[in-house]
Amino acid sequence: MGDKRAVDVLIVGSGGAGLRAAIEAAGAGCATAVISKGKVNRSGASLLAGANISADVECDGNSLYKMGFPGADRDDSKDAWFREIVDQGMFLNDQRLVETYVEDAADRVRELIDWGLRVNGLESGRGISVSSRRLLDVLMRKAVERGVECVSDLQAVDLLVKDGRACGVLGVDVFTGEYVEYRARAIILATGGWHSLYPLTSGGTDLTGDGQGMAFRAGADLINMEMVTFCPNTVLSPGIHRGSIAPYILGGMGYGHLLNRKGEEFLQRYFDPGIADLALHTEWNKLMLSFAEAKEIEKEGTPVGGLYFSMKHCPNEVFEEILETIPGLRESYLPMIERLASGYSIEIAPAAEYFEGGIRVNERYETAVAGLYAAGECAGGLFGANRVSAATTQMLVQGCRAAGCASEYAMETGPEEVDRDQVSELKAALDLPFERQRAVFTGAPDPASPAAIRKRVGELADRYMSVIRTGEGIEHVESEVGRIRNVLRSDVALSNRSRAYNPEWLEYLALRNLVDVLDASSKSAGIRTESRGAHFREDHQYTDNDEWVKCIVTTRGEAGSAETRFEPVVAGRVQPPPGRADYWENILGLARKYI
Amino acid sequence: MKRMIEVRCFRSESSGRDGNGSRPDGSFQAFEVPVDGETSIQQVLMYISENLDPTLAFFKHAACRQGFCGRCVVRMNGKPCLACTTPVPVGDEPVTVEPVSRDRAIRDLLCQATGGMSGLNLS
Repeated sequence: MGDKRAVDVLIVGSGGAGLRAAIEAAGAGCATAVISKGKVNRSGASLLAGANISADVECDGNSLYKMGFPGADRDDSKDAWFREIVDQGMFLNDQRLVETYVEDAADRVRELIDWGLRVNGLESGRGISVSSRRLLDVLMRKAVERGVECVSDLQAVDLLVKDGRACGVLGVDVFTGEYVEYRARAIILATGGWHSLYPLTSGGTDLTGDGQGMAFRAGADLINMEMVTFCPNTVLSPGIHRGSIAPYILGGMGYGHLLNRKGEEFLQRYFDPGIADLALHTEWNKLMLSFAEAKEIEKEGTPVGGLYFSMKHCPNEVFEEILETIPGLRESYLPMIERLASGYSIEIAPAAEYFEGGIRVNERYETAVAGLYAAGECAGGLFGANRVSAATTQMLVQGCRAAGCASEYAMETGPEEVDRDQVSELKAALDLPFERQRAVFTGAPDPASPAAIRKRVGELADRYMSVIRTGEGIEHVESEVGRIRNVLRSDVALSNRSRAYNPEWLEYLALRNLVDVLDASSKSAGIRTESRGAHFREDHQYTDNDEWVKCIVTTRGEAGSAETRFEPVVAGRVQPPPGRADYWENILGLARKYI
Repeated sequence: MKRMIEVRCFRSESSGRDGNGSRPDGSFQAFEVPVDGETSIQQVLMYISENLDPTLAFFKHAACRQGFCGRCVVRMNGKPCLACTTPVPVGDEPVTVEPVSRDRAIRDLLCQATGGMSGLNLS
């Protein structure tokens, strides 16, 4: 029994990719639903894009110029943009995906403006500056207009697969804890990254790799899972601002000094002054600053494990000016600005921000499972080893494309009954933690509690799968993940049997995904014995185009754990130069080229 | 510069650890929590959840933590607020945290109002 529903196209995730997909599927005449574990259009990765100060949405400068932005780079072209994305992605990009990205971007930007999105101005020669909340509202309004069913507070738990075809999703109503079964002809995953694995992240608590985990368990491939971008200058303390990238945005505008616990500047220890300046004030700062900050935190970090972002040297006029000129700052960050103006600093550190890897898709955004599609950050491959172009454009382009293809598929495919045995087995397995209820609480930490497991996986990710990696550390993660997987399968127990918003059970549901992505991510990082883009191996500090322009694909093996294999990169018009180069020489060369 | 404060959280029926037995339903449970001047109510609740009692229910599974999603609404010392952007008050007085509406409470501090933000415009 239980709650059963059916649609043509079901979309999991309600950020920009999910909502843009919904608009397209409903427009194609499909009965469409969007389900979200949080509030539809107020959850997911898109909500925090640009810290609600300024999110950039990009397309090639020439198209932008023709849309009526005289400041845009009219000499830019789709081809030039394409080449930059692949060059800066260090040739791991799936060039079919890059093709759809640069081709469709201008149409996606134009329609947003037609649909009423207010543009604050230009962010660059290729990008408009908008508010991410307004962007989501514009998409939401359009989706509702087209009759999309929007369901908040429904956690997707697993895909239902029959005869190799995805035919539905088993979900849980988070408030009641009851199961909800959604049957669908096609399913689009649009769930964002796995930010929440990391103790310090710029993302919301809902980003737990749900799409990647579900796809992996259903038999789809994951790709480039070793690639994680960290955002420097993310707030560590004071706690009330933790996870905000507002200092990063201020730094990008040229404000602020970075200091260690002794009050010393430190960037020049890692980069020469010209480069340090570059690291501070260009898009390349993410890789370079994160590296310098991670190193300095080891040496001379503050007592809470960060560094100081200070604006003590600024006269009051500077603060008045930035509050005046930067939209969104006064509204959302006044206490932070007041703190900086009073001479106190913000403690910052690099935070998990964007995931280049994810569910492997082709140019139709199909996964290896029939009827299953992926779009936005949860889909891997577009940006290769390093994202420099806009993830907002990714969500719009891919959501739209995936839904176009999913709708065609749904139209020509008959409804499939779900496999009742799969549903019963799944529910029985998911209910096990309730049956293994813990005895009277003694106050001692219980290693089989969801909270303890969550803490452990967070520590492993933070320590070994962060900005600077070593083979030894990654091996340790791999062996620990095996152990944790067993605890999660056989021992995890709850303190309370209530199904209504049981926080421990919800934690357990998230952990099933977090452990799968940590497994896939660590095994991929372990096998890539070079440094490329976001993946820096201290024990292999070179980028080797002769051996390593290939992708690592992860699938689920027999015992449920991740198995890796190599696959050639889907190449195209851009070819990597041959040879092996020092990692930093390569990075600095690229940085100089793209100032 | 951390100080300890007492945080009294509303606990609804069927909440808490089974077998603990010491706390009557529908009452306040006190926790000792370390805070400084810039600790948010949400962090206080996270601290309790991670270190003292993992059964405490508040909106935590899909929270933006930065004042944008508007879903972590609770009543702190009687006033509705977003837990993520509201600091604990200055001083050593105990702090009370309740659902924004007990009538619509789902469990502990979580209620339907925080589910939908209906009628509340706090973000």
